[in-house]
Amino acid sequence: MNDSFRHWRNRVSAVFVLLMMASSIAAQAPSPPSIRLRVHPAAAPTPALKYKLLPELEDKTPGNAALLYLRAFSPEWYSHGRPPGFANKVLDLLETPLVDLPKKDVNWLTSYQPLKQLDKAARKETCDWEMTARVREEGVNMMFPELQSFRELASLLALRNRLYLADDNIDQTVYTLQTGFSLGRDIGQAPTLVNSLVGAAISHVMVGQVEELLKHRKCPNLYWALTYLPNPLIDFRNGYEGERLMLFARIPELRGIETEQLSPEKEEKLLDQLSNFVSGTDARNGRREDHVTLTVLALKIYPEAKKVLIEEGRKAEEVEAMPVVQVVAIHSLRRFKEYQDDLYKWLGLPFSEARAGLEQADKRLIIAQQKKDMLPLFMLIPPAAKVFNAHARLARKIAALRCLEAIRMHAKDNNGKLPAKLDDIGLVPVPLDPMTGKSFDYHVKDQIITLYAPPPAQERPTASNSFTYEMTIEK
Amino acid sequence: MGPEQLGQLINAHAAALVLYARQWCAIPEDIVQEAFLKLVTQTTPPTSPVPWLYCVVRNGSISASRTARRRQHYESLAAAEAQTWFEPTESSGLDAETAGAALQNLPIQQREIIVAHLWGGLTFEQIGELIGSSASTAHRWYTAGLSSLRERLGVACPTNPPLGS
Amino acid sequence: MSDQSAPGELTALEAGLAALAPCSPGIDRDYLFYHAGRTAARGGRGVWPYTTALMAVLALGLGWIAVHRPQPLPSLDRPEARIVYVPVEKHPSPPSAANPAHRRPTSRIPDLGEADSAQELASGIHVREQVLLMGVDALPSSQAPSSPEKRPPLDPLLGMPATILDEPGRNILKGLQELGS
Repeated sequence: MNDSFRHWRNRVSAVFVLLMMASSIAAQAPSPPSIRLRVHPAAAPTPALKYKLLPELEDKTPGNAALLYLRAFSPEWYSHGRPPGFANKVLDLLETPLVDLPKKDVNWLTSYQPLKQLDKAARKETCDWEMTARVREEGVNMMFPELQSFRELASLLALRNRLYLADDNIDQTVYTLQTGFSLGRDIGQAPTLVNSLVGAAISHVMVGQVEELLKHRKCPNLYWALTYLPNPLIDFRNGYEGERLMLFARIPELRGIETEQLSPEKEEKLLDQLSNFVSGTDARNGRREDHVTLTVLALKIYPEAKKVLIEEGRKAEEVEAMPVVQVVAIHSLRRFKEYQDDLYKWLGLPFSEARAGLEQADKRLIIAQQKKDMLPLFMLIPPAAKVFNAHARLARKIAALRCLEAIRMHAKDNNGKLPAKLDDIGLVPVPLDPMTGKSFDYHVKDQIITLYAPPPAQERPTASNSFTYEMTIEK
Repeated sequence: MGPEQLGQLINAHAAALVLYARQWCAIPEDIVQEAFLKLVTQTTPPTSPVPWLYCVVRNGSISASRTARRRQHYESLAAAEAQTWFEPTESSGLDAETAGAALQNLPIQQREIIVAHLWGGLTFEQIGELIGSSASTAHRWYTAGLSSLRERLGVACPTNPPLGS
Repeated sequence: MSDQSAPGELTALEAGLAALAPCSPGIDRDYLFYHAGRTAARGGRGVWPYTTALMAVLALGLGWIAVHRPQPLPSLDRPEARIVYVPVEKHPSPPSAANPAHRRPTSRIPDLGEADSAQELASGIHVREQVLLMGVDALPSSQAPSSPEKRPPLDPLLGMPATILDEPGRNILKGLQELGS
């Protein structure tokens, strides 16, 4: 056997060995760490809705919450100043074990005016950011100068919550959670998807604080408090509907494009707006792109656009008489609306039913973008699946916590005995996993409950698509 | 920089640059796109565009990851959705998902050097400059990383008698 | 260097790893070519200005006629004009079901241009796009608020100390009443 054959055989064997051993690695793929909770059994409170996680109408006064939310940023009050490392310090304090929390250092939060303004805002009957008019006018150019600071205030609320927990003050804890969940909801229901995401992020911070509360020995059973939350917590459709306004905010001349007979002036305006759009120029900055890029693109698209319009029912002589740019614009707008609705139609379904459809619609959009047979209006269709998944994750966490509270209730009712399976819990309905439409994965071993929310099929577990609660119920 | 050169750079290096950026951040495509954009808008293009791109991508990725890292724990909105690193393999070679998982388990220093060398094609001298270290240190980490991978993947030492003999 | 100094037993592993293809990058080539052309056109270098100029001449000539006159182009079939494009690769194949995390290429609106400042890059459209793709951590960092010590003194305006605004409203009112008396 010569050397080269031996060398070749060794290489093939090595690769073969790699292949043979490789499958074992799949089971060892890293999973995110479990969330560990040490809790006590607890029955449902009396009355059942003694604790609520959002203020109710009886707790509210007339007025517009948005004014007070923004008042939280009054320069004279907003004095925590953000010295270097402040954000990391807050995050450190949020991770510090409650027993080690340096209460003297954070006591100022209980009287901190910005947070008090949030408390008041959360208890106003309405919240009108008056954003719709701005979305119509500014579209994708809208700025969000306040949102990052709201996230910061949410972290401070969470820290205040921990302070109350450290002081065994459950009522103030629940009060703070109400403020935080209101803040998340009010921000999240403004008509932009950026708001929607920030609202979900803030709500997640509060869900984290619910987990903290669960660990407290005096924590009441929160099953009904969690169940009573709106589902979904944030109506994210407002954000999607706001996104629909952005196209005409950016290219107003598209509004009447289907039916208008374009005068030379309107045609010029349309060319200007489309040229600016394609080139990414904002005409309000006094800049104006030449029409070259648009013209090249329009000429490429025109033959197909004309054909399709006629196939879709427009009279051939009408289409022939239209300026090229109008034909291309109508065709592109129709396709844009089709793709947009192809995504949006899934938003009305439960998460578990919508997920696959949304992903397929997103893929169709990617393919369509690559064909380049229309004006690039796609840029204004948001990544629908991403935002949807953010809200699905929130719903999933809330459902899982409801499960845990149902287990706590069962344990109290059965002298500490844990249910062998979730179906054994008869006191209250046990929620399904909203991502899968099935029960959460439930195991009990050595008195430790594991509640697992698995990743979607064909995905590896990550912190964003799966989680595990490990709960120990003290006797 | 001419269109042909730009096209060649994208064809040859974009995928590897995205893989490199994945070591730190959740949306590496944006970082790489920005890096290419910076490249094409340089009035004087760099003499060695490939190491230049790796440097820009590295800086951009680390910066992006710093912003994301502290928030993820609380908001559970990790930008990282499930990430697939390699195209699924049909040949009887290393399984793509397995290899990706094993790579992700390595310490970042080893991982980034392996990616930069094996897929990016950078020499150890270039990698040393990239990470602010020496070529020999870079090589040492590279070798250590591959040894870890060999253990994780259960690869037998090829000096052992091959199977079937 | 690896062939020379890496231990021999690692070579098969290196080969196995190197044979794996990183996922398709999703880079928007047209966007990059567009900017390469713009940059070079400003500098007048390389083939870009010629490409751009040729495109411009052809486009302006045909385009002016096509977009401004609704009648068919005289003596020319519909735009079979020789429009010169920068060579690009074939479109990548559609994402496979095995790669569900494939995301939409960032075919964003081209940047505002070389001379534009970082401020313009941080404009709303960029922020929106980054947040929707990367999550809320892509929001621009908050600026530190001005400290109370930096506010303009009230004294010249009202004859009252600047610190009156730190007081509850009733004290401010009292201060105003005393001012008037």
